Amino acid sequence: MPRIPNRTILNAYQQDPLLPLLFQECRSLSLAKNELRWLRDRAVQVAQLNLAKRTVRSKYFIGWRGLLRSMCRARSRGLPLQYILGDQPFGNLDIRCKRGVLIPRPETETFTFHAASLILHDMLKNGRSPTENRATCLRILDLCTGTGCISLLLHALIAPHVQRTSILGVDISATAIGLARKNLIYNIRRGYLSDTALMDITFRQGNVLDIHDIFGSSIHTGPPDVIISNPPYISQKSFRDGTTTRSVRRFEPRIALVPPKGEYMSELPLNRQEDIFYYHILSLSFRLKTSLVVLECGDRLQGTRVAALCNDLASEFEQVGNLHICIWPAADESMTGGDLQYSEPCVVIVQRYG
Amino acid sequence: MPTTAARTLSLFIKGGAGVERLGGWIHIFQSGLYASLTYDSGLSPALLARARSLSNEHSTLSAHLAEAFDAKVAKRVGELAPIANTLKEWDHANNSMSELQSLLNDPDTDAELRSLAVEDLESSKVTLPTITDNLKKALIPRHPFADLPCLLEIRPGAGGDEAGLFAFEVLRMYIAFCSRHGFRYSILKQEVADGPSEDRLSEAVLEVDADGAYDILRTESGVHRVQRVPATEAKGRTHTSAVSVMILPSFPESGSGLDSSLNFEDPNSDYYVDPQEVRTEKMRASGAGGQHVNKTESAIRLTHVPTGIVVSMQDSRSQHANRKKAWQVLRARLAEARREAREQELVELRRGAMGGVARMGRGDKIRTYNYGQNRCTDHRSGITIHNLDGVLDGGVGLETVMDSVRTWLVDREIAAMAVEESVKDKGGLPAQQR
Repeated sequence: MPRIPNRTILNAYQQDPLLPLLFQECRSLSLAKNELRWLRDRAVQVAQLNLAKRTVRSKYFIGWRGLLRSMCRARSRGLPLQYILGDQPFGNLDIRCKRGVLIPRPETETFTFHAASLILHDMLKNGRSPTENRATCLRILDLCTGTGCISLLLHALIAPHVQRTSILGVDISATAIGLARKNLIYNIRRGYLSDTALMDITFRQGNVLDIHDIFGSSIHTGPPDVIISNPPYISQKSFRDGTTTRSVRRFEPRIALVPPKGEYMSELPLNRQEDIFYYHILSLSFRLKTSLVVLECGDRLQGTRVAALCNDLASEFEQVGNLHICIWPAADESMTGGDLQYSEPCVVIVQRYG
Repeated sequence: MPTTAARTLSLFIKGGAGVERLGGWIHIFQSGLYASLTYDSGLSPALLARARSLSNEHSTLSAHLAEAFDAKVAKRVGELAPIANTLKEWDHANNSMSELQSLLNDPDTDAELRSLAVEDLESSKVTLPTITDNLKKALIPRHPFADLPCLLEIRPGAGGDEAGLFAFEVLRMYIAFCSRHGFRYSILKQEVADGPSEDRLSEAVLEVDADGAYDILRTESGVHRVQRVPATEAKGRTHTSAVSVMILPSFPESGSGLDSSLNFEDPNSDYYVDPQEVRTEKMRASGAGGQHVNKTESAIRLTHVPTGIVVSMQDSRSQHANRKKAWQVLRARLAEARREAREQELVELRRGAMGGVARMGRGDKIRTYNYGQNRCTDHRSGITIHNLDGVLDGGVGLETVMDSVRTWLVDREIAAMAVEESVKDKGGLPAQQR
């Protein structure tokens, strides 16, 4: 990481004494200013709320300036902004965030929008006749749901166009499931989600790597039409070698980032530990004959590996003919440098016809 | 036609002999004046013809509307109603005048009746110009964006830091103006230039969320010039800098409530932006993304490929909100550009006739704020207010200036309209007026 010149820091200090603190994480003046603005807005809001509620006794009362200062200090230690503010916008939703649960990423937001448009176009327009989808229920399985952001946004995007939806979010962490349920209620209360979401969306604790556990829970309400997932995909190496930033390494849960080592690997035809989740999710989808699978991958190389894995599994399960596998966004050499694109996350989309 | 004559008669019965004496010479004087009034009432035959045709359209459409309701027709009728009504009033005034005139010309008319007719003629003569003015105003086509809320874009021009500082004051002026009028506003974008202070704007977009705000604020589009000794000046010299203000139409979220011409989602609309022509870029640093990093900023940059207009937005934490705002600004800029292009065509048509440029564009200096002399001068209407603070507070001073510009705009529109009609009359031949 290049050192920031003293002059820049001094310049920032003249604008606001708190800016140099934010520089530690932001590394650029415009971003530091933006973050300071967001933090200040929140600090003022919280201070006013405290003042109105008078729950804080005068002795312990902190004005917004004090609050802002402590927020900036926390940020300078690398604590993610979303943990400090407690939320992250995701589509038109507002997702609560807290320690121990992965913060939703903007890429995931883009992928979720794409998945929703795929579901609405392909499944409702081509796949089935309009009379049929009135009666049937669209089932979506969201594996490694974390804050529940994908499930909630999919519901917000799809529910208005479909008669019935049923979304199940699964995560291994009890903290995540608790937070996901909280997010569901929070967004309904704020009017971002329709009231039916309370009935349509369920969150359940479960281990995606345990095939019996996950198979049982996924067919509990009937086999899903769509499986979507943003599983842990960081390799041990890139977690350590600086590809993963300090803030993520220190403050976000490792379990949501790096797939676990150990007994799961031994009997599988895989040589890369970071792909382990894809193997399990894809084989589940082949057993259930899911019509659409959307998997987020860390970079394009991983995406290619996952697509290849999918082909292998297809021949193993003898379901080659009616599959369509693609990587989105499609590589576009003309636009920007190839290097930049290869390091960007992508999704592998598996569509099944007939 | 019966009312004026009847009033004259009733006055005649009540009236004394006092007026009789004046009658004789007023009659001679008046008849001469009257002749000039009918033929030079300030309404060119071209404009009158236009009013007549529009009024005819109004009556046929209202007849049509009586049979079957159609929202489009009803809207058109609503637009034409003021023209039809004012024309009726104008006709009525003219008729009664000619009636009175014939009364005066008739040698058999009683002397007292004659004197009263003269009096009535005089009062009609006074009211006719106002009616004519109203008719002219009614004929001005309504601005296509008049009913819309607006975006107000402020950018510093020449003048470096000082321009940035003044841009901030201009922004404050309009915010004060909005809160004074009870308009809801929000700052879509506020970019501050690098420097020690917060109040050095490099770009700001203010959204004024009130229907018709565009019409009210459109007098403000143009270059605002400031002359003062800047805070940054050490030697006490007066500097001149410029800030450009743009008023853009803000299209409502879903165009369903509006007619199709303003519905930006309708591909047939003039203001439709094809998403295929817009390139979206998420500005990001190089290196890994996704779970590897935790970005807090999600800047969006939209480029409209055919025109090269670029809008970037990064003020909000939400990618979704940034994208929505960026689209709003992009649509507004494109709509304004398209409207300007259309106006330019009209200007080309008028140019020969009016001589010189008949349009105030965004590049023209429209107003000067002079701190040394504590005055604000608008270069279009020529008004000068000697209370600069009253203007910069967004208060009565600013309102007075804006009103004067509005009057000026109307006058100019009428002149342009008359020329345009006469050009049309002559079948597109190079027209010479006056």
